[in-house]
Amino acid sequence: MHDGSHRLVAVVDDDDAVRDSLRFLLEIAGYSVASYGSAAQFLHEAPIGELVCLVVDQHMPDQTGLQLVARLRAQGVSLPVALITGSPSADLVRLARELSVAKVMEKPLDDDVLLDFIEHARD
Amino acid sequence: MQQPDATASSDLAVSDSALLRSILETVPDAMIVIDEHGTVRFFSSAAERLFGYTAGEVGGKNVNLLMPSPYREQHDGYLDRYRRTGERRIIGIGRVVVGRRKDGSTFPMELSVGEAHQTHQPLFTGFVRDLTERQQTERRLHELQDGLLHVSRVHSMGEMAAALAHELNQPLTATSNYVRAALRLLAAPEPDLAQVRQAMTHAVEQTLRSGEIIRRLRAFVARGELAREYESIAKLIEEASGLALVGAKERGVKVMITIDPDLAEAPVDRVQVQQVLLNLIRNAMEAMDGGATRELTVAASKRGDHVLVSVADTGSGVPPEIAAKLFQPFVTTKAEGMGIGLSVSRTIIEAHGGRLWMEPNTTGGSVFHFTLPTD
Repeated sequence: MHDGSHRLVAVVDDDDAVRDSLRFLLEIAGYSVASYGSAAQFLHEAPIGELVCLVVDQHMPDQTGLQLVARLRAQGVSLPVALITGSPSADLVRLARELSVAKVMEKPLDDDVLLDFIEHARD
Repeated sequence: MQQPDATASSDLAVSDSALLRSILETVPDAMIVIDEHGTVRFFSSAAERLFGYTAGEVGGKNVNLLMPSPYREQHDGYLDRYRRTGERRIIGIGRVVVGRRKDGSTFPMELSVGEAHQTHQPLFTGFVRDLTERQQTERRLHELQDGLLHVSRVHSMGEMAAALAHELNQPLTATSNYVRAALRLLAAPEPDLAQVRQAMTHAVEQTLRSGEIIRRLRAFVARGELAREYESIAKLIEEASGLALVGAKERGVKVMITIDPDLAEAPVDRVQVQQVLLNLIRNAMEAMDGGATRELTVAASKRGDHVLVSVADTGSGVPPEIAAKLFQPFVTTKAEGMGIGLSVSRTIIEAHGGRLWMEPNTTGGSVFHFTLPTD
């Protein structure tokens, strides 16, 4: 079981419905959720030090999910990341691995896999 | 260069001038000069190469020899009408038409016709570009067939489908998240039904959003209501074939176009039906890639109160497991394909009150047939 300081999950997706539905699912599973509509908003507003992990969409208009992760890694942030995408190509998976992305998940998402990732993100 | 018609040439400056002739021989486009009766008076070396006839074989003959039916039968009528009315349908305008080689195969060509009155009788000079041989052809054809640009190309179909797949995946993901959340809620000993209800309400909203995206796609493909007008089906097929057969020669595909001269007009949305033809012909050409026999036949005939159009290939045919669901969206045998072309094609034909179906070709490969009502 988590203590209160280790239950905040960040969700970054430009699609309102995907973002809201993820919030709903994760809250039901007992997590607090901080959601953001863009990479820029996340970088500007998120309490990065308090997060358990980041669930981020790859396909976003301004910065992609991997661009956001690259930025975080460049800042020395080792936050566990799950990348969600509609088309997980081999190239994408390779790049994700290079950026120490723990999980690349195809949309629609398997909730068991996602929640298992979050549950063990801080192990 | 053989002299086409020695007796007729005496009053023609064109054939009298060795210098002029030598210049004409260097023009890369095929050049054919006819008189007002359609008789060939000059046939350049480029024309010999293009059509497979020697100048001697066509000189003095009716130029309609170089045309497939039904144009062959109609050409004298066109000349006659021009003599009577002076109305220009092609002179000084140029258009894409279908030519016929000596071996009977047909090909799309761009024809520009000029008129000269240098003696007492008019002469018509045709410059012919073989569109199957040209690098720039695809672009040129698209300029000519501007109306087809929108959604016609297989390429843009693929792009459209990729965009559609991405856009549809968002509400599907959201729906799935809500339903899975609801299932988790229901797994509790005393489920919070208010939360379940909330999840299901959101899930329904997202499925409706998926439906809206599909409706938008349909509107995009169909461009709203059909814009039907009575069109010559022969002309429609000729134009679409001209566009679709680009590259046929490079692919080693022999093309036959046989159109019933009695073919009626039909009330159709020209651009959409051409889109269907383009799709079927492109599919047929791709199906024959790498095959030993590559023969593509486009045929159209009148059948009672409708027109039957067929596109036949001699490819490897459609595997039975694919054939059963051939017209469902996202079913494809192509590595790059999205499997949307046939599904959209059938939607278009059925919107016209016709049918689109596939049969195995008796000589191997497949035949796609569609009907269009003529009333």
